[in-house]
Amino acid sequence: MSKNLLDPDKWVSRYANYLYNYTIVRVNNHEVAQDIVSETFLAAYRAKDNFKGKSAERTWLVAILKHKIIDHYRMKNSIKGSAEVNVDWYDDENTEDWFEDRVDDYKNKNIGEEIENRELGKAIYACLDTLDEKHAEIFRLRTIENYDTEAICNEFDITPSNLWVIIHRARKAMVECLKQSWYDF
Amino acid sequence: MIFKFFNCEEACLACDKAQYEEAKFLEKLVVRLHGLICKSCRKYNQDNYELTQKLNSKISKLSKEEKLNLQRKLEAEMKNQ
Repeated sequence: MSKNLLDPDKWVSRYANYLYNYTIVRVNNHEVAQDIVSETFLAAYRAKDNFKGKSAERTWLVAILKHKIIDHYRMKNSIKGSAEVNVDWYDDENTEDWFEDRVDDYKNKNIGEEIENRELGKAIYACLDTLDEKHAEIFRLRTIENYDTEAICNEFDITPSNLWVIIHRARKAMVECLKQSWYDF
Repeated sequence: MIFKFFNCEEACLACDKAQYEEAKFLEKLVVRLHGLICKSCRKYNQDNYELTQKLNSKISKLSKEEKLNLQRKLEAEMKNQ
């Protein structure tokens, strides 16, 4: 079996959106997700000599990303623990306002939709993981990263006809997978 | 060209291309006309369209600037090492 190689110059264009999607559904904050993805790339670059080539580049990056997400929660919990503020909920003066202050905010009215979008993003990526690795990569570059057909053909050394056959198979597999895993497909 | 109206493979290929706005006028016509005579391809077109809708609207993406920012940070790290 041939060894997989790393190509750090292309990490951002190839995997940034994938890693970001993986992260956003787990940390629920755009800035934090971006920082974690950035830290993942930097940590991966520093550790590139440890890459043995047994797994795909993306799998290896996701493994590092998982550690970064865990680190984020560890740090968050330790900060929260040290800066905990004890609030007296039964303070006579504020008791009446307390409920009113916590009434469902109009800004949150789309929260259900937002959660659904994120969950669907998760389901889409889970389905993408079930595809053949090369097919998934080509499908992802064309569909999610919006690479030109020609650029992908050059990169993978395939003809446009080959590319469309791969895209067709990938789309069919994605539909079948989402029919199983998503409620309204 | 008329042959293509009856060919499921051609119609599905044209439908795939249409999802990426790469289908030419005649290919779009093949998708429409073939859909009238072929139930399974009609279903494929519907599923394909729905997949596009879901992929386009429900996947979070980083903006070009955000990606550029990530690239810059990574390049700075590469120069440091």
